[in-house]
Parts: sequence; structure tokens; C-alpha cells
Amino acid sequence: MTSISSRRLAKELMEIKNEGCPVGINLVQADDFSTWLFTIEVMGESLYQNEKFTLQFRFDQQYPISSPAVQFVVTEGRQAPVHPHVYSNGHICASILGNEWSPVLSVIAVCVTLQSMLASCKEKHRPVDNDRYVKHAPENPKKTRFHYDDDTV
Amino acid sequence: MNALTYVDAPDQNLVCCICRMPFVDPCTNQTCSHTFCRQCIIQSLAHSPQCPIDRSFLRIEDIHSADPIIRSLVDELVVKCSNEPAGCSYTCQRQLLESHIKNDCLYVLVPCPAGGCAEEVLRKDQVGHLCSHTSVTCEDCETSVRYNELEMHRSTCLKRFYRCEDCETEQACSSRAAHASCCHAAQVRCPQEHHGCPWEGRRKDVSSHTTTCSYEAIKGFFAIQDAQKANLVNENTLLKQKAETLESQLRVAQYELRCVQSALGPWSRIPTSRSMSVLPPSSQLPTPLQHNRTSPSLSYMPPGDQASITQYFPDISFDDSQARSISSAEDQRVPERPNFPHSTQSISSRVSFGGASIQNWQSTGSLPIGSGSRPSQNVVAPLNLNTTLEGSLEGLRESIVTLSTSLDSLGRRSDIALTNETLRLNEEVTSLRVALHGLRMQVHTIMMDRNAQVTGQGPGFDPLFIQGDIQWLPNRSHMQNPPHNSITKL
Repeated sequence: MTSISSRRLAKELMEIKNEGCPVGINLVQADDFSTWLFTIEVMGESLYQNEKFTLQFRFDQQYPISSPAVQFVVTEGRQAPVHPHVYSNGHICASILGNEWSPVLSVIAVCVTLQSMLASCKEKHRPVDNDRYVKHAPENPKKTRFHYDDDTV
Repeated sequence: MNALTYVDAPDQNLVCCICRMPFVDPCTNQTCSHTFCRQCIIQSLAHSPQCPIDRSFLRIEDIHSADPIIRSLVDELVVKCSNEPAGCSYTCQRQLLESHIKNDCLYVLVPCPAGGCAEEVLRKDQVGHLCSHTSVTCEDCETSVRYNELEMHRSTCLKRFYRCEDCETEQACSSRAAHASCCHAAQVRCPQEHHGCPWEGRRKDVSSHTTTCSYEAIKGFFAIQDAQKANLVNENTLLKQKAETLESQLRVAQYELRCVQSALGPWSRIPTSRSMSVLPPSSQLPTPLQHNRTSPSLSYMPPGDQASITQYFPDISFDDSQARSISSAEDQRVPERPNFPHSTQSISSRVSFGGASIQNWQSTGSLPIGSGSRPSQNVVAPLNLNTTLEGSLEGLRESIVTLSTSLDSLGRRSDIALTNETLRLNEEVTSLRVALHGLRMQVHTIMMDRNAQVTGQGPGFDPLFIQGDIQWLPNRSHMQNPPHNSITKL
């Protein structure tokens, strides 16, 4: 008996392979139903032109009821984008990854949301409490209780 | 139910946005009219009480079964049988699948129809076929055996016969092996085959062959050879084992020898090296005070040995040169050794006090000179590195004994000399005092006479305070001290 999460992920993977990813998003690795890697870049005019980031999804057995753990990869020479909502350890402060997650959302939907979050950025800087957060951050960003206060980006 | 495979891609309007599969037991919430599978929306609400689509507040009480038309649409979707992996290719409407599996599917497990069997078999094996658990009757011996054991029974059945291909007679299957070993018509090879006889023929012809077989004629010889060969093989095995044991013992012994060699250091030389080294007599050696210390010491040894020995005995050249210096013609007691300043200082001070006068010691500086009456038993033999370790140790011990005795006598001699010297000095001081007293008395008398001649009466003036008259201590005339201090000292 395959679990609901792996059936749902298999379905999403099949859709990705059949229909392809949106522009600027590429599937790098989806060997199992626990960790997927995507590359994401912002197309067109933006502060992140010619920059390419790697996005990591980790799924638990409760997916899609509970949200996946999503963060930028900061190892092996890869960097997290400098963005007011992205910490230097790759953690992302975005409401859809926390309390506004909905089972209706999918992996591709999250990718597109983050892509647009980068695209709408007006000023490249780290979050104000970056150093303090990175020092004490849990390994899994889902364990962080972010306070979402900015609706502009 | 939610693991079904749909034959056609389902209409996207009938797909639950949580599990992304066609609705199973669809439910619609009353507040925002979104539809989900019942199981999906219950799980989602347990996680957060909001509609997954529009995030509006939603309680489990607001969930109701979906419109019958939706239910019919999803129930009539065509699905594959869930036993497809087992081999069932049946497809039907989703709502009919349950009854198919219950009643018709050949790939479901059902209880075995054979009475008393608790196992389950696939339905296809049950219908119209012999179940592996049913009993069948052996057609030869007419006994009842289980279906899946029939093959095994047929091969051993006593009533079953087969036709031997060699002798073309009927034989019982159960005695097939026994017949094969005695069938007269069977193809066999010569009994001396392993000795090289190439003959091959029917078993009944073997006896006639053996009468002519040249191998058979020397059967006895072969037997003896075989026995000898077996003996040799055994012996060889034993010897191999022995050699292995000896090799391992040799390795252990070599290891121990290396340990001993490293422990012994320079004394672990093979006996032949002793002939290379000749110990020169000590009388031929030059004076150690003037010569370069490193060149003559241990020059009779191979360079490798010397290096190894100095490694173990860093002060061995010191001992050697000391020993030779003592035995040399000048009879120098202690040579100058720049790398042992402390011991040199202590020894030289002791020696100078014992053997020489104070003036001698001052004039020669830091290098003391023996009194020349040094007894000859102080000679210490040089360290003989050509003997065994035991011999060398014995030699060293003797040297130490000699050293300690000579040290003892030296101490005693210096005590006596010191006492003698002190006595002599005491006597000298006493005689000097007496002489000085006589002089003082004479001067006093002269002064008294002069005073009497000049004044007739002395003014109480002490004549000893007149400067220039007191020149009796010539080596102190240059001093700035007032002379009366010196006089009062006396």
C-alpha cells in the first residue's frame, strides 16, 4: 500500500515530466519521495539577473496535508539569494510555507511563488535579524515559527 | 479505494485537489462549496481548520456528502482491477469493482476447497483444476497421494517399471540405481581405467577383457605403487606441516633476535668482527692533554660500530681519554674537558688542595698539576668493546672499584697534607710574632732613649704614631690604610 504522500508526489512528478516546469524552474533531482531539488532563476528584469539558486524540498508522510520543508541550498558553493525574506542559511520566511500552506498547493506552485517573490524584490539585503536567526536556527525551517509582517514582496 | 488505476485520464473537475485523484466518497463543504474526498478533507481539517482552497474557516460539521450527480460521475469512471499486478486484466466501472473482486476475480485468495485444508489458494486454481492440496491416486500402485507430491512418488513407486535401455528388460523404478550397477549389458570401462587402460565395453565382457588386459596383469605392481604413493603423499603432507611450523618458529626466533640485538646495542656483533679490532696497548697512546680528543679514541673500531656505540654511550670517549691520560707518562691526574665544565672544576679543586701548595695552584691558574707521587694503581683500563657485554660490564665495574679506592686514598692523603700544612703555618706565624715582638721592644727602647735625650721628660707622646718609621711590612706600603690599624692588628 503506497502512502497518500507518495502517490500524490508520483502524480506531481509525472505532471512535471509530461508538461515540463515553468520558465526559469528546472527539476534537478527527484530520486525518491523524500527530497527533491530544483534550480530557480528569475527571468527578465530583476535584481537577480544571471543568478541561479537551488531550491530543496523535503517531504514527510503527511504531505500534502502538511507543508514541505523548503529552503535554498547553501552548500557546495551554492548561495541563497540576498533577499529581505531569505536568511543566509537558506531558510525562507514565506507564509505559504508555514501557516498559510494549503494542500491545494503543489511543488510547482511553491516554486512559482518563490520565483515571483524574488522577482518583486526592490532592494537586496538580508533580513534584519539574519545573524541572530542563523546562529540559533533549527535544521528544518518548518520548526521555525516565523512572524509574517510584510505583504509587499 | 484511493489506490485505483483509472483507464482514462479523469476529468479535472472530478479530481480532489488534495490527493490529485478522482474523488473517493466526495464531500462538499457548505460554506464555500468546494468538494474533496472525505478522507482528504478530514485530514486537512485536523491539520488546520480552513478550506484548503480559499482558506476560509471550516469546521468538520460543515462537511456534507457531495451532490449525487458528482458521486455518480466518479463512481462510473472505468478502473482497472486492483489485482492487475497478479494478472487480472478486468476493467469495469469503479462502483462495480467491489463485486468483481468479491465474486469473480480469479486472482483473489479463497479458502482451499479440499476438506480440512486451512490454506488459501487463488480462485483460478480452485475452479476446474486440481488443487495442490487434493489427493490423487497413483496409477501404478493405486495408493492415494497429494497432488503436489505425485512427482516424487512416481519416481519411487514400487509398482512402477521402466525399460532398461542396455539390457532391454523391464525393471522396477524403485531399484533403478541398483540395476544400473549390475546390468550385464551396461557400458562400463576397464577396472584398470585409472591406471590408463582405454578399454570400454559391456559389463559381461569385462571378465574376458581382464584376461588379456596388460594393465590387469601388473595389478599387483600397481597396488604396491599406489600404496607407496599414498605413503609419500602422507609423508609430504607431514613434512609440509613441519616446515611451516619450523618457519613460523624461525620467524619468532628472528623477531626475538632482533629484539635482543636492539637491546644489546653495540655488543650484539657477530663473533667474526672481533678479529677485525685490535686493542692497542695504553703505553703507545700519545698524551691526551694536547691531542685532538676525537681522532684517536676508538679508532680501532669500524666507523659504523663507533657511531652506534657513541649513540649508546655518549661519554665513552671521555672515559677512554681519561683512562689514557692517567696512564700516560706525565701522569696528569685530570685532563681538561670542555664539555664537562662542572665536574672538571670540582675535581681540579680537590686535586690541587691535596697534592700542591697554594702558590703552585695560583700560578698555574685553573689547570692543576699533580704532585708527581701519584701511585700507579689509579690507572683505569680503557673500555674494552671487543669482549662480550658481560665482560665489558665486568671491566666497567672494576674501573669503578679502582676509582672509588683511589678516590678514598686521595681524600685521606689530602686530609693529612692539609693537617701538616696547617701545623707548619701555625709554627711560622708564632715565630713571626715572636720576632715582631722583639722588634717592637727594641723600637720602644730606642724611642724612650731619644725622648730622654731631647726633653729629659716625655710628653706622653706614643712614638709608634710617627710616620715613616714603620716600614717593616713592605708589601703593604702602597696601601692607603692608616698604618696604626695594621699595628693594632698585630
